[in-house]
Amino acid sequence: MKPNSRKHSNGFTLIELLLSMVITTIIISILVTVTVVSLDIWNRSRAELRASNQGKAMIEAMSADFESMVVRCGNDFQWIFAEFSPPADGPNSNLSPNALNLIFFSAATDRYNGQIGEGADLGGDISNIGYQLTYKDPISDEDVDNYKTFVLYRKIIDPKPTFENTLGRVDLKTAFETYTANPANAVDSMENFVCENVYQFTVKFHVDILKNNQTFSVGVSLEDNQQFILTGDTITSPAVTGRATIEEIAAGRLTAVEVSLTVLTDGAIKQLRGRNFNDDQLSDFIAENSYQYSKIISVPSY
Amino acid sequence: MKANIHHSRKSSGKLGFTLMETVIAILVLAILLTGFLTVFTPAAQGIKKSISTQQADRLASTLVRDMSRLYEGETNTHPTGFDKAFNWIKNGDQPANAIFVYQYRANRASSPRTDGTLAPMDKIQGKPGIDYIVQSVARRANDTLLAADLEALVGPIFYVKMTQLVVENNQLELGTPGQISNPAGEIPAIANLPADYKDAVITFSTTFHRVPSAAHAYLTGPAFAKKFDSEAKPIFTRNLAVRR
Repeated sequence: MKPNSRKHSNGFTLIELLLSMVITTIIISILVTVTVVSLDIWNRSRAELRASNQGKAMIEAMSADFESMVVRCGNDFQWIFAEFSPPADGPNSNLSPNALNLIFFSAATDRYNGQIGEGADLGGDISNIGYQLTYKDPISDEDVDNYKTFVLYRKIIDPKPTFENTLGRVDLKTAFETYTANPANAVDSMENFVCENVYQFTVKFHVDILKNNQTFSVGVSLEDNQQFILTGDTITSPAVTGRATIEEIAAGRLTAVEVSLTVLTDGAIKQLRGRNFNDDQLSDFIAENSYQYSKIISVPSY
Repeated sequence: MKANIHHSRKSSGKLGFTLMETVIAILVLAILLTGFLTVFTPAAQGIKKSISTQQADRLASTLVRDMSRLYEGETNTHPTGFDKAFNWIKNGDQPANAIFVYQYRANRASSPRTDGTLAPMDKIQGKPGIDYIVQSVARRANDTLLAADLEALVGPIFYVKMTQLVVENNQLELGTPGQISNPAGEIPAIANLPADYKDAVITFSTTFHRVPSAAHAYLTGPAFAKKFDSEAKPIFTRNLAVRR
C-alpha cells in the first residue's frame, strides 16, 4: 500500500529537486554576473561624466576669463601674476603635485553679479580675477576631514574695488592678498566655488618670441617656486631649456594659455583620505582613478 | 489543448513540467535578461558620446591654434601662420593630409621636439603635473611625430574635415571642399596660393569625426582613406576662422 501511495503523491523527487536547484543556481549566477557588470559600467560611466563636468566647469570659467583678458602696454604695472603654489594640505598627506596661484585682469561679464547697467553697477569693466586650488570642505568652514576635497575657487573683484585696490600695481600679488585678507572678500568662500576633485592643474603660457629673425611660439610652465609675471612692458619668467632664454621671453608676447588638469573620482578622494600610498602606488592609483583634460585658450592681442 | 495536457498529466500521475513549458520559461527569462542589458548599454554609450562631444569642443581651439602657429624652423616652409592655415584648409580634403586632433601624455622632463612640443610618455610614470602633463595637439597624417604621440594617447582621437564658408546671397554658405575662393568680384576667383587670397580672414566649417582605431598603421592606411572619403555624419560641427 505504501509504495503505491508514494507513487501518486504530489511531492517532487530528489532528482527533480536537485535539477531545479541546479537550474536556479545557473540562472541566478547569470543574473548576478549581468547585474555586477552592468553596475560596474554604470558606476564608471557616472564617475567619468561627473569628472568631465568638473573639468568642463573649470575650463569654461578659465576660457571665458582669459578670452577677455585685459593688459595695457607701456607701463610697469603687473597684469598677470602666476606662481607655482599647490595646496599645503591634502588627504592623508597625499598632496596635490601642482597648482598655480593665478591672478589677472579680465572684462568678465559676471562682474557686479551679472547685473551690468543696473543699480549694482558702480562703473568700470575691468575685474581682477584670482584662481586658487585649496584642500577643504567646500560647504562648511569646519575642519572636518571626512568632507574635505581639492576645491577650485575663482574670486572676482568688481571693477570699482579693482580700480581702488589692485589695478595699476607693481606688486599685484600683495595688492590682491591684502584685499582678499578681509574675510568678507575671501577667495575660498562658498560663492567662489567653481568645481571640486581637481587634483592638480598646470597652466602653460604660450609666448611668441623673436629669434634669428623668426617669430615662433614657446611654452612656459612653472615648477617649484617659479613665477610668470606679465607687466605692461615685459614678461618675467623662467627660461625654456634649449628653446628660449629669459631675455627672449621678456621681449615676447603672450598669445595663449594651455590649461591641463587632473580630476579625481569621488571614490578616489575617499580612498586617499583613508590610505597611505608610497610614490609608486600613488602614481598607479591616480592613473587608474582620474581623468585628464586640457584646452588651449587664445588671449586677446595687447 | 490545455485540458488535454492537464488530463494526460493527471492520468499518468506526473505533475512535472513539460519540455514546452520549460522552453517557454527559459525564453521569457532570456527576454527579461536582454531587456535588462539593453537598458544599461545605450545609457553608457550615450554618456560616452556626450563626453566625446565635450572633448571635441575643447579641441576646436587647439585646431585653430596649431594650424596657424609656426614652430622654430617652420618659417622655411610657411612664411606666416596664415600661409600654414591656408594650406591646411585647402589640402585637408585628402586622406594623406587628414588632420587629427587629440590629447597625449607628455613627459615634462623631456627636451622639446622639433615643433616645440614635449615628447610623449608611453607608460605612466610619476605624478601628473610634475612628471607628465596632458597636452592637446593637431597634426596631419603625414606628420612624423604622429606615430609616437598615438602611443601615449589620452581620451578619444578625432579627424577633422574643413570646408571654406563663402558669402552667397548675403549669408555664409559651405564652399567646395579642397578649394579656397576669393570674395565675389576679386581676381582670381579661386585662390591656389595664400598670396592670391584677397581677404584677411578665412572662415570655415569644421566637422569632427570619431576614428574606430588609433593605430598609426590604420590612420595612414587605405581603410582609413576609404572611411575619410565616405564619412558623412560628424559627431560635432563648429564654424571657425583664421586671420592674417
